Amino acid sequence: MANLRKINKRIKGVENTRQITKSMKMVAAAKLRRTQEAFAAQQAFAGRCETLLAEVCADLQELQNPLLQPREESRRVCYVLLLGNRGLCGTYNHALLRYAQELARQDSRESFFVVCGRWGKELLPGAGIAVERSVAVSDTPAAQEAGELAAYLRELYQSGQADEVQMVYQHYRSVLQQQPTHKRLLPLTLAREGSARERYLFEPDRESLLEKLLQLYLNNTVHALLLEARTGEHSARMTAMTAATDNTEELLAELRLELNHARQTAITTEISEIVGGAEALRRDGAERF
Amino acid sequence: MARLFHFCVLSSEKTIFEGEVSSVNLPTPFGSVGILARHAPMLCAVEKGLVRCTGEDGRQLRILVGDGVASMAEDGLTLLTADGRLSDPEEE
Repeated sequence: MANLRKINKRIKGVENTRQITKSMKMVAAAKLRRTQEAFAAQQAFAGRCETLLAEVCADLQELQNPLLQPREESRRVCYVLLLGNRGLCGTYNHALLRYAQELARQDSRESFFVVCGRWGKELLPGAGIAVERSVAVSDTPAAQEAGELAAYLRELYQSGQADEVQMVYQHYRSVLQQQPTHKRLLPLTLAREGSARERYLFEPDRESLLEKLLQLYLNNTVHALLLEARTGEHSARMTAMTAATDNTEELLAELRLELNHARQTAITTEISEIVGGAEALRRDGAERF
Repeated sequence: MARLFHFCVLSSEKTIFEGEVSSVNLPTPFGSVGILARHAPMLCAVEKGLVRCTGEDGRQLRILVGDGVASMAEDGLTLLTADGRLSDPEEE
C-alpha cells in the first residue's frame, strides 16, 4: 500500500510538471509568432532602406560619414551579446556564451561587452565577460528599444570608446536550428550599386540625406537583429518544452504501468491471504469434528 | 480628375499607410513640400510632423510621422520614417 501511495504521488508530481511545460510551450509558441510577424514586418522597410542607401552611396569616395569609415587602427572592440531573457531554452544561452568567450579570447584587441537580455547576470563575471552595460530588451523588441540601443552604440563608436561594434547573437535558421554568429555593426558595411546622381534630386543635399538614411538603417539593423535573436530564443524554448512534455508523457506511461503492477501484486497478495486464511479455518473446523 | 500615384509610409514596425493618392504634402526642414503624380525622381529629408494626403476618393488623410526620408520614383512615393501613425482628426 505504501508503494502504491508513493507511485500515485509521483504521478501527480509528473502531471503537474507536464502542465507547466505544456503551458510554457504554448506561451513560447505565441511569443514566437509575434516576433516572426514583427521580423517579417520590418523586412519591407529594411529592403527599401538598403536600396536607397546603395543609390545615395554610389560614389562613396566623395562622402565622408564617420559611420562608414573604418578606423585606421582598431584597438578596442565592443561586443554586443544578445542573450535570452530567461533559461529553459536548451543550449541557446550557454552555446552563445561559449561562442562569445571564444570570440573575445581569439581577438588580440581589447574588448568589452554590452549585454542585452536578463539571463545569466551572475554567470557572466565568472565567465570572463567584462560587462560595460546591461540593457533590458523585451520579449518582442519594439523599434523604440532598438533605437535607444542603436543611439548608445553609436555614441560608443563616435566618442572613440570603441573602434568597432560587433553584434554576437544566435542566427535563426529554423525553429529547430540556431547558429551562434557575429556581425559587424559599426562601421557600417553597405552594398553599392550604380550611380544615383543622375536619377534623383536631393533635397536638401546628399550628405544630409545620407546621414538620415544611415540613422534609419542603423536603427533598423539593430531592431532586426534583436528580433532575430528573440525569435531564436522563443523557438529554442518551444522546442525544449515540447521535448520536456514528451518526456513527461513517457514517464507517466512508465509510472502508470508500475502502478498497475503494484496494484496487481497487492490484490494477489490480498487474495492469497484470504484463501490462506479460509483454508486454515477450514482445516481447523475439520480437526474439531 | 487628378492623376493618382502610389504612396506608402513604412516604419521599422509596420506599414503605416499604403494606397493610391492624388497629392501629398510632406513636412521637411525647409517647409512643406507638395508632391503630385509624375513628380521628378527625388530624395527628400522629412522631419517630425503631419503628412497630409488626398486619397483616391478625395478624402483628406493625415499621418503623424517622425524623422525620415521620402523617395519619389517611378513606382510612387515611399516615406521611410522612424515611427508614425494615422492621425485622429480630433487630435488637431
